[in-house]
Amino acid sequence: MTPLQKRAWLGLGVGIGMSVAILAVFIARGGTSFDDDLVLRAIAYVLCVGGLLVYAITLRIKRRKPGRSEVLIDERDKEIVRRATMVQLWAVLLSLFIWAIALTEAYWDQKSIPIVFVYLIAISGLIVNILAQAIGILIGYRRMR
Amino acid sequence: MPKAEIRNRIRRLRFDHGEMTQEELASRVGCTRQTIIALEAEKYVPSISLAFRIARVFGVPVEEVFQYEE
Repeated sequence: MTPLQKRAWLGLGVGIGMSVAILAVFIARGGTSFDDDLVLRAIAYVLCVGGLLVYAITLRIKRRKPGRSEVLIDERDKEIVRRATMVQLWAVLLSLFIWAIALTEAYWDQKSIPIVFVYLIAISGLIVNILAQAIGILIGYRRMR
Repeated sequence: MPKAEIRNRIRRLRFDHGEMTQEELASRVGCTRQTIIALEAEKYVPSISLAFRIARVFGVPVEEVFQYEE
């Protein structure tokens, strides 16, 4: 497994972990109370920032086995990342589009959207971004295996 | 992704050159062993630069390593 594949699996783990954790917190404390519940907001922020930090820190750690080739990332890896970036871009755009249509249709009559959705859009954008890149990379390796 | 139209003889050439390992070839041309595996399986077409580096390691013209098939 290449370092980039390991990174993709890590991204997948972090993305799923963040999703499950945030969902669990919302279910435990009640999503509707997000507007007034400072603790709920704080936990959601900590989970997002914490997940990102774990992801960023582990990316910096390079593991090299003795006797193995010095090259960790080569042209094929770069090509896979380039394609995964397109997957990432489209996934984030699609998620924003879905949010926009769903919220517009759901709150059309009220003419306003609860503030909680701004946070949810930001959090989901972050998670979709991490997950889509990881999935794009893993699909790329599967196709070029 | 459609299967590459570029065929190659990397596996054959490795064995003809003292059963060179994929790891050794990867190290000498500056790529990962996984890329050599993908090249041998014809799942990946290398850049011109990598193709020349591989040919140079075997001491043959690039056409002897890679063949274009229509």
